Amino acid sequence: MMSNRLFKIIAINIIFIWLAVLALLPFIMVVVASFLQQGDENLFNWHLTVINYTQLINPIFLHIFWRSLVVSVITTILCLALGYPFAYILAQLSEKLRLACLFLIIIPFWTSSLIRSYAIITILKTQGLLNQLLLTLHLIHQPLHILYTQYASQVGLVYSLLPFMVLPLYATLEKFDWRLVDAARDLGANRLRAFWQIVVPISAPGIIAGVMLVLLPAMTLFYIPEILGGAKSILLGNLIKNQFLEGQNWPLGSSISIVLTFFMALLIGVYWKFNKNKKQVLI
Amino acid sequence: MNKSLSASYLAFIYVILYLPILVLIVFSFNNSMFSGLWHGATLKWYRELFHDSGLQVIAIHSLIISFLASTVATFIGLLGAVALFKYQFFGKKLLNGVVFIMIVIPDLVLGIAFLILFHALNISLGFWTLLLAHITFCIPFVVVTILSRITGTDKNLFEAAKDLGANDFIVFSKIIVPMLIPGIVAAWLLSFTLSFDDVVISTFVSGPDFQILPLYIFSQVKLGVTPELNALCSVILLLTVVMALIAQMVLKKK
Amino acid sequence: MNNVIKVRNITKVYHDTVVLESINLDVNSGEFLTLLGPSGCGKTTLLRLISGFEEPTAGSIMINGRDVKGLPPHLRDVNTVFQSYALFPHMTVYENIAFGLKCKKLPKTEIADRVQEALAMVRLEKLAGRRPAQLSGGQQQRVAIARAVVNKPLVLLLDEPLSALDYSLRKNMQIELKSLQRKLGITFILVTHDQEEALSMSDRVVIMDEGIIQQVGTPRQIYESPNSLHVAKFIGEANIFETEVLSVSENHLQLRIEGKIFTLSNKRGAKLGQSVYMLVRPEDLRAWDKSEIIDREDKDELIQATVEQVIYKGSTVDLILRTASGKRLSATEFFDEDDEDLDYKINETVWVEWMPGWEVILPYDE
Repeated sequence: MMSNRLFKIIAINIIFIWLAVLALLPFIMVVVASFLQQGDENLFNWHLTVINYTQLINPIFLHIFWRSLVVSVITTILCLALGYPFAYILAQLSEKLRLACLFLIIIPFWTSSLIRSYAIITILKTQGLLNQLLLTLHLIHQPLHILYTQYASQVGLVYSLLPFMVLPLYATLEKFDWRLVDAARDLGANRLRAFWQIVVPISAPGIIAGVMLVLLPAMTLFYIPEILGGAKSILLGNLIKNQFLEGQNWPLGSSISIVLTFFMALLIGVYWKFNKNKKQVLI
Repeated sequence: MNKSLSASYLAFIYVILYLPILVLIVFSFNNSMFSGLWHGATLKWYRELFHDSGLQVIAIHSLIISFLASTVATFIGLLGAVALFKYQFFGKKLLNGVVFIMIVIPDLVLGIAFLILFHALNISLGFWTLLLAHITFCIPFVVVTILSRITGTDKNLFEAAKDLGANDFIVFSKIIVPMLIPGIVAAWLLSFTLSFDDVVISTFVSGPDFQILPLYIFSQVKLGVTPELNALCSVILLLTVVMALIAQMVLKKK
Repeated sequence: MNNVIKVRNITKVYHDTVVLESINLDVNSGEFLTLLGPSGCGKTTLLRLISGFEEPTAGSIMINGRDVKGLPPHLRDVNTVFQSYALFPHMTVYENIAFGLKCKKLPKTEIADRVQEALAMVRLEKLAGRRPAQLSGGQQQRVAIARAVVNKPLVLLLDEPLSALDYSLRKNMQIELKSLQRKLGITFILVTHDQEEALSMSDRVVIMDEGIIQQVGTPRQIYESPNSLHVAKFIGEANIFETEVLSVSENHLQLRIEGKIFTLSNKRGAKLGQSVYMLVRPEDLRAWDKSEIIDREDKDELIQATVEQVIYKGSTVDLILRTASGKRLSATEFFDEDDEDLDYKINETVWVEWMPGWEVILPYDE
């Protein structure tokens, strides 16, 4: 059957070759670039070096790394704290209501996060909705200057990334067997205990997937700090971008990206560990 | 949990998510250039938008890139998903791994990887680099969307078709594709919006000769809020909401 | 005998549907009681009202003499074995069984002892460290039982506990459950839709349908003297004849069945002219062939029928018969000393009779 083999070869090879040339090869090039020297005329000098990595142990970079980590961890915690109860309630709604509510959370997921970040400028600016509301309620006497500070950037990150936390959480909680909570209650657990000892551990894969989808973008969505934050709120993503588009130090930008990717691999490792357990449990 | 408490919590989150967008849309009708206050309704900004020939060119660029990127990515991704589902082959694990990594890796890293690749291959940045990059980052989403639909179908159907004398190509075109139409449409729509909204990767792979909307918006946003920009964003929001709506409807039909 | 559970006038309404209507039920201490009925009859709802996962719309439930209105599940002296078990997938067998005791904050050594005891009871000592997903269906079933009984409840509620198991395993678990109940001496309330399971395991059976209790009795009472056509049909197969009472004497009545007059005892006080159903179980019908009947004088008083199908079942032969009026009958014949070769042929004519008194006469359901 010639045509069967032909079809198989075509089906496999188109995607294989495409991704090998346009995904795998560039990844490898980033790794290589991170070990090259910055050139004076060309972008690269073909001398192997680890200077791009040793250079990272520099107070200015370390400070940015640390701040990025803090900002993204805060973003993740806020998204989790806001998103978990949301997904939990959503998963228990009646079928009809759930589909409608789910759709309302999918829309922000599909819409441009650049536009959504832009949208909160109007809310946060000095004569914006938030200040007007707080002034009318007499909670403040002077308008707050939030826009163009790191707080605005923090708000923007949480706002942009919340749907990315909610969806994986919802996906695991939707499949959750609520009779397990009944069983725990039957055996003498109160609601809180049933939640912490049954619901949370079983939804761990969803929590980790949500953390993964929020933690890394929070460091790398460079346009959010650029639109909402001030000059001081630059994060890892801005640092990498600047090395490529302004500083013209591609090897350094590459090495920072590799560190970031390494961090990602660590998270994936944790995710797999949990998912493996889950597989054992479910199958 | 208390029912009204649950309902008000849901409402609270929805308000947080939607209020900024609604304010943006409302102010796109505001009859004032700068003020954050309401000065009456007007369609002036939309009229200006549709008469801005420079912007029209940029919008057409974006539509062309997104249309081509999502169409090619859907084609490649569909074949890839079918291959991953049906066949055992050398490098299958690698392919699965690359697809997974491309979904979780930050766009920023993908963006610089493309930049280095195009630089190394000496391709100047512009239409082609944008298109290649967009196709590539859409493929994994297509594969995942379609694969999740195929795995839900009955493998016996394909066996039955083969038993009745169909070869793989006929099974693909007469059985698999028609059965997966909802998934394919959804994958195409998702790719289109991903491509149409992308800022991060496009920042690295676009050149000065071929402007696209997200980058234009990004450059304008840095200058501050204007009602025209609000109008432009409202139009784009409307487009993506319609796409999301169609995708949901298509997926649910079955 | 004291009642460990008293259900009084329980009504449960969901939205606008009445799921249970004025249910009254006393559960004796130490008995094996089964709630039997088709799906949607309200049996599981009744169980959930007792366990505390639902509150009744009206009526009261007493457990061990205490009104449990408003009491959450974890404060009631009952435990549940859930349908398809609801074992905690992220915990080992040991942790699953220990869960309830940990909730009660018992000392560690006592927990260890009681879990060991429970594991021994269900013969799973060696699998204590496994996760539920690594167990077979029967083993999961045993863990679910151990996890409930380790808490020493007054009443164990079992919600279709055997429905996920295959036939032979189910048979074994029925025997095991029954002997476990005897050994522990605690009250079991089992919910099932499988009538065979209900009859073989229970001390008493409660037949439910459409939110009301149809009949309560021992398995034998329910099988041999159903009090309604519905119960009779639900429990086993029955040949049903619709007819009228032709005459009544002090203890007897006369019915015309398939053109023959039968004089039967009038146990339920049927009246002259009343429309009634007469029921005969297939295993109570005897079918005689020509050679067996030729010498009997009363052969004209028996119903004649033609054999349509012969189904050999090992210890029995099932016959599908058709009478002259076209009525379909089913009869189950046993191999025994009297009749060793049950040799029926298709289209053969047979004469049908039953032991007088084994029939059930019921008034028309209104």
